Order: sequence, then structure tokens, then C-alpha cells
Amino acid sequence: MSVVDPEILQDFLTESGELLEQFDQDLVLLESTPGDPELLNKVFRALHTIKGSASFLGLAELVSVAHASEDVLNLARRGELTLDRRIMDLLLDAVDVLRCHFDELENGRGLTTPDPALLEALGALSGGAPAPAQSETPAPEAALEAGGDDEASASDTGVRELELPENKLDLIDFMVADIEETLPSLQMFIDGLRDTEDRGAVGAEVGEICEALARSVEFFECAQMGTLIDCLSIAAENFDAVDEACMEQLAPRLQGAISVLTEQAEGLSKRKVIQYPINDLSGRIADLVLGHGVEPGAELPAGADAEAALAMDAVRGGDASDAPVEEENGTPASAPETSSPTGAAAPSAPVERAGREAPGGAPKVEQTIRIEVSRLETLLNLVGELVLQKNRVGALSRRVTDDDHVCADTREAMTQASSDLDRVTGDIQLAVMRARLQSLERLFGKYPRLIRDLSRKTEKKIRLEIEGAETEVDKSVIEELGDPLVHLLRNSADHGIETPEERLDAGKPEEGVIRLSAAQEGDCALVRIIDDGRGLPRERIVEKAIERGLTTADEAAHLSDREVFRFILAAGFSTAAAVSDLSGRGVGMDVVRTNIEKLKGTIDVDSVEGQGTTISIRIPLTVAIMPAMMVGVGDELYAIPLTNIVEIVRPGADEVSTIRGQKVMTLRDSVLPLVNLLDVFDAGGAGAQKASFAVVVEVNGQRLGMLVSCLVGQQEVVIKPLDEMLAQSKAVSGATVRDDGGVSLVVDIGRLVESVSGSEAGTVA
Amino acid sequence: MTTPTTSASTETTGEEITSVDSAQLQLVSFVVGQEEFAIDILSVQEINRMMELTRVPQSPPEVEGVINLRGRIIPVVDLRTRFGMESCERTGQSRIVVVEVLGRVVGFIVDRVNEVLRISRQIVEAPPSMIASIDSEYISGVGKLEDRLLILLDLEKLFAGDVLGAIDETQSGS
Repeated sequence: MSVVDPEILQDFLTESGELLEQFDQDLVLLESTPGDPELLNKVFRALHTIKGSASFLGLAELVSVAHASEDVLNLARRGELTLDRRIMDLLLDAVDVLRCHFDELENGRGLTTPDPALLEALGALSGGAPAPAQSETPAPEAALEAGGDDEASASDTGVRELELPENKLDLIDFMVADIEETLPSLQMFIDGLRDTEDRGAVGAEVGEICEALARSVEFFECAQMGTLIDCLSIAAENFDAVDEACMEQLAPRLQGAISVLTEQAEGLSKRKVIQYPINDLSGRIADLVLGHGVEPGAELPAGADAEAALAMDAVRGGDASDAPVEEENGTPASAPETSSPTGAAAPSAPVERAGREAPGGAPKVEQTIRIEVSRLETLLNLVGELVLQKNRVGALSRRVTDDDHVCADTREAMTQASSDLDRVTGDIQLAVMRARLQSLERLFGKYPRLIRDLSRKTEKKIRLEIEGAETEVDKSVIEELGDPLVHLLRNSADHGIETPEERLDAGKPEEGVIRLSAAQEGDCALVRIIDDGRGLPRERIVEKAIERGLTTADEAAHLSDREVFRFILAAGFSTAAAVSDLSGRGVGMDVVRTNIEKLKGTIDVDSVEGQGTTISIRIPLTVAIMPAMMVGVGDELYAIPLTNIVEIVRPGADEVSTIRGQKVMTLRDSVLPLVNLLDVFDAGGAGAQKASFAVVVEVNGQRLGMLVSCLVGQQEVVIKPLDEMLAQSKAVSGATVRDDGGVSLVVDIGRLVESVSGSEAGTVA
Repeated sequence: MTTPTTSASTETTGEEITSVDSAQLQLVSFVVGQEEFAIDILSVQEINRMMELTRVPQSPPEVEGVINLRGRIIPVVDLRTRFGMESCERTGQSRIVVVEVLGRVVGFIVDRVNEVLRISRQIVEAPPSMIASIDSEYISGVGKLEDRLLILLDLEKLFAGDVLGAIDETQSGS
């Protein structure tokens, strides 16, 4: 497999990418519960799978890093090594290197050679002496996996003396016995594979055996055996996804692989390393497992046995010596894992694989399919159109119903049909939106590592608590939310949480807590970042705001805390005394605000000095389709997003007044700025209806009254962008098609509020 | 708000399209004010009767508003305003010509659509610096027919965003 099929590579990237993310998260988790055997096994398995798949694809650089880290984890698993912070740092560095490799693969670039210092450091941990781990373990395997690389000893048959460091010599007999005991049971499972109904179960068994075997084989540093076992174990994971035709080809090859292993194990008992040209065999197993079939000419006849397979794949020159089969020996004593999927804290591997959206090749492959995002996008757009057409039919039906000339039966039927259409459309819309929903888990999962790194860097003690990660939001939301959350968490860790000494002085526990919580609130997702740090210094912020001309001292005295805290969202606003490499440049919060606004979301800052800061982000569950209130402004209709509307009132003349040029209205005991949409939209022509209703809207905690001429009613609108020619229209965020087929503009509440509060800052006390 | 009951009927312009050899230009001609203009037939998507327009506040003066073209919302420009002519009442002959320019779909209002015609490239001359108060910038040529003059418009220049701004300035300056 010298040239990697891009499809296989993509599968690998997706699958292993997910595993790597999980690995990263679990490592961080492991740091707080060092020695947790379940978790250790899980991280080990994840890495092992990544390594296995990578060696299939001949990614030598990647394998070498994975291998070195795996050795370290293996020791930790056996209790021979405690994962302290230093080791964790190394392992996490290795994760970063792997991630970097994945990026390179994705962009079609060559892999960079990993930093030898890292490999050496990892090797030093596992091998005792740095030299063997670095030069022996990764290198032979890498050379083998490079495939087609003819200097590799793997490609030809040969026997060499087994060379092992002295400290291992004592154990050879024990390990050989272990391998020889395990192989027959493996053989038994594979033999029965073709006739078994429940291949998934067999796969699980085989997978476990392989894992035990892999560890024993690693001991001998025999790359070929490792490769074959990796082959088997990856095949085992996919047994139930392989179709009959492939299985016909696969089973003999697996048997062949086992027979090769058996012979090699025999060789080991005599201190010999037996090499076979196994590249074809392992390559074809990989192809079969991934459902690609074998290349023409390599098919085996039906009912072929192990020897036929070995002959076909040129492992052996056709001399049909019987594969020695010993009597079965029960399951290996070292079966490592209870595969109970109901681990409460840390889900075990099967759950984790099945739970992700669509892990190709995982056992439950039939239940999920991968879809290109663009297709979902198209579907969503079409649903948008459907909603508009439904609205039109609804409007027509209302007209028919009001028409006395139409007979009663027809009217009723029309109403019925229209309401059925309404319901079905609603269901479709929901279903399509659901298809685009993703849980926040994937996003939130990245942050423990972030906080860990930050707490190391700042020498603070910080604990991150995550709640409600299962909350689902639209895919686009996940994409846009990532950066803002990183900024906010950084802020909390860097500025919010105090140093341990300061905290103790303030009578707080030494360890600071940042809580990241998510929940669904109506048709919004509410994401909160709550820290128990020092809180926002109102006075400092006011000072800065005055300095930057955002407010005046007079005004500031009247501002509520929330209004003051809003200043930190302004571009370039920073109260940090010095810019650190974490934050303080004042760029962060502006990015946060911009991204959240892009999602039509709102952000709210609340803080009590000395006790902590809470930042609340509300984001509508979907961006494209939303309910809106249609209002008349002059003789045009406009749409106002319903999520922003707080209430609608008819203000009396005594409730409207003017303060320094800005119209305001009194609403119960608060005073709101008031704008007349007739003026904003220059719709106050002769004979235009007088504005009599005030729609009170709220964005980012700021309220505003908008005077409109009349109210039409609620309607679902699909927001469409306006041509660039019209981009200069300030208070309009897009257009939508009404139920009567006409076009209405959607009021951009955010910009309207901003423009009013902007001018207000200069004029209103 | 009234519902536009006449579904935007498309007057076909495509029926005469045959293989256009390179020496020939196939054009759609229309009248704005006193002048007769023509554009390449291939850039025309459709020609619609007048329909209800939604005004967009703070938009450039020549933008009459937006229309719903089968679910797509497109801006409509009044060519009279665009050319600095006096605006006049819409008549039954007024049409919205929908064109695709540089990937954008834009409509413009004309007084009436004349015909689809084919002329030889040879009778097209470079534009004079000024034609009846219209800036020559967006005129790609002038076709001299036996009995009349045809002004060939360059749609890309006519509807390119930056030119729009520039033209606004020249208009307000004059």
C-alpha cells in the first residue's frame, strides 16, 4: 500500500481524529485521577487503535510518536510508572504532535518528523535507557510500514537471532508460553467466524485477545508480529460490518495470519525471529475490512484455507506445511477488560464509538451514515422555501375561508388541508434542524486541556466544571462558538481566578472553580461561564471607559453595574495592567461579541467584585428560520425577530418624553429610549399611518422601544441576505418572503440598539 | 398590502436563439426615456411585468426596492433614475428586465421592451464621449441601424458595486 487511497485516508482521519480528541480529553481527566485502571486502559486502547490504523497506512512518523507514547502508557497500566505532571506534559505534547500530523495529512502535506527529543524523553520513560526505545521500537516498525520500501527486512523471508536487552532475557520463556497459549483460542474464534451469526461478539473476543497478544509481542520488539496482530485487531473491530463476499476472502487470510504468528512464536521459543513478506497479506486484510475488496487476481476460491491465502498473498512459496493447531486453551488469563458499556463516569470504548455521530467502520455502521454538510445545507434551504410556500397557502386558505361565495364544504376542506400542511411542514422543519444539531460535548471536551495548560502557566489552581454538555445546538453554532468560549475561559483563568495566596487571603478555597454550563432555554441555548474569581472592578472599568470616551463621569454614576460591564465588550477595551501572552490585549471580548452577534445571539456580563463573574450567552437554536412579528411601518411591512421582543405596549402621551433630544418612554418604573421606525426607515410620508404601538425589544440586556404603525401578526420567516447594492441599509439585517408572496425587510435590532445607545452616550445622562 | 395576483409572467426571449455566429450580435432592445438601449440576450434571465416592490430604506436612490423572484430576493434599479432622467409614471408597458451580471441577479425597470434583434458587429461603433447626457462609461458601443441608433449597454459596468458609488457622486455633483 505505497499509495494511500484518499478515501481510506479520510476514514482514518475522521475516526482516528475522534479517537485522538477523546484521548486528549481522557488524558486530562487521568491527571486528576491518576492510576484509574479503567481510564488507563481506555487511553491505551485509543492510542493503540490510532497506531494500528496508522501503520496500515504506512504513516511511519505518526506511528513512531504513537508507539513511544503507547509504551509509556503501557508501563503506567501495569503500575510500573506513575503518571506525574512531567510525564503528562510529554504525553500531551505527543498528542499535539499527532494532531499536527493529522492536519498535515488532511491538507495533503508530508508528515514532519517528530522532534527526536520528545521521542527520546518518552523512550527514556518506558525503556529505562533512552537508546533502545528510540532506535529500535519505532524504527523497524516504521520501516516495515513504509510499505514497498525494499530495504526493509520485512519484505523477504528470513531468520535472525532474537536480540533483547539483558533485563528481558529472564522473561522470554514466560512470554513465549503466554503467546503460545493465546494463539489457539484466537485460531478457534477465527475458524468459527464464517459460520457465526454474531460476528460482533466474536470480534469483541478477538479484539481482547489481540490486545493481550499485542502486549506480549511488544516485549519481543518484533515488528512483524505486531503488525499482524494489529491487523487482526482492526479486522476484529469490523467483523460485523464485513459482507459475505469479503468475509469469504478475509477469513482464510486471518487464519493465515494466525498460522504465521504461530510459527513466529515457535521461532521465538528458539530465540529466532522469523520474517515473512507479509505486506500483501496485511494490506489485503486492511482492504477487505474496509470493504474495498481485494485487487483482481488476488481473489481466493470459495472455501480456501489458510495455506491457500498465504500462498496467494506470497507470504509463503506454496509449500503446504500444515499450520500447527494445538488443542484449545480457554480464554487467556490476562483478558484485560470488562466490556460492560455502562461505565458511569467514563464510557468504555464500545459506547464511545457508537455514541459519536458516524464513526465509519465502527460496529454499528448501519445505524449512522455520514452526510456532506452541503447536502444538509441544501435540505435546510429547501425547507426554508417550503415554510414560505406553506405560509402562502395558509394565507390563501384564510382568504378562501373569509369568502362567502365559496361553499362551506370547500372552505372547511381548505382549512383542513392547510392546517395539515402546516403541521407536516413544522415536523419536517424540526426533523431537518435536528439532523443539523450536535451536542456541545465535542466542543466542551477541548476545554479541560485548555484550563489545565492555563493553570500550569499561571501557577493557579483551577478546576473546570462542565455541565449540560449534552445540550444540542446547530452545527453552525458549534463552529462559531469555539473561539468565543476559548477567549472567555482564558479571561476567567487569567484575570478572574486569583493566585492561591490571594484566594486564601480572601478566605476562599485555594482552588478556583470555573463552571462552564449549557442548557436549553426556550428556543435558545444558554451557555454560561461562571468563575469564583475576583470579579470585575467597576471603578477601573468606568475609569477606562471615560478615558476612551465611551462615557462621561456624570453618566457613569447613573449606569447600572450591567451597563458598566458591557464596556468590556467594546473593541480594544482592556483593564489588564499589562498584556500577558494569555490575554489583556483587549481583542478577545470584541471577537466574542462579534461572533455571538453573527449567530444572532446575545451576551450578558454580570459580576460581583470579590465573588466572581458570570457571562451568559444566549444563542437561538437555529439561525436561518425564526419566528417574527410582522409590523406595519408607514405603508410597508417589516419583520421583527420574536426572540428579541419583550412586550408590546401602546404608550400614552404622558409616557413619552424627550430627554436631551432623545425620545424616551416610561415603562412601569424604567425609562427606555424610544425610536420611531417611521423616521428610521424614512416611511413617514404624507398620509402615512401614525405610529401608535411601541414594540419593546431587548438585545444584550439593553432595551429599546420602537414605534410602529400597526401590528400584523406572527409569522415564521426565512432570512435571506440582501444584495450588496443594499448593504448600506443600516437597520436591516435581511429580507424575507411574506405569506402573501411580498417581500419584507427584517429589522436588525442589534444595530438599531447600538446606534441609539451610541448617540445616547453623548446626549443622555 | 395587496397580493400580486398576476404571477410574474415571463415573456420569452429565448425562442429566437439560434447559433449566433461571431459576426452577429443578438440583442434585446428596450426604451428608457427618449433613448433605445440594447443588451446581449445571453445576460437576460427573464423579463417581467411590473410587480410590487418593497422599498429598502437608506438604499441608493436608483434602487427602487426588492422583489421576490421565485423565492430569491433581488434588487431592482430604476434605469431612469440611474441615468439621471426624470422619473415618470409606470405604464402597462413598463417591464422589469432581470439580468445576471458577475454572478449577481439584478432587475431594472425600463419604459418598454422593444424587440429581440440581430445586428452585425460591423455596424457597432465605439461610443462617443457623451450621448444624450448619459455617461459613456457604461456604454459599450453604438449600433447604427437604418432608421435609428441603438445604445449598447455594458451591464458589468452598469451594476458593478464600486461604479454605483462613483456615479452617485457625479449625479449629486451635477
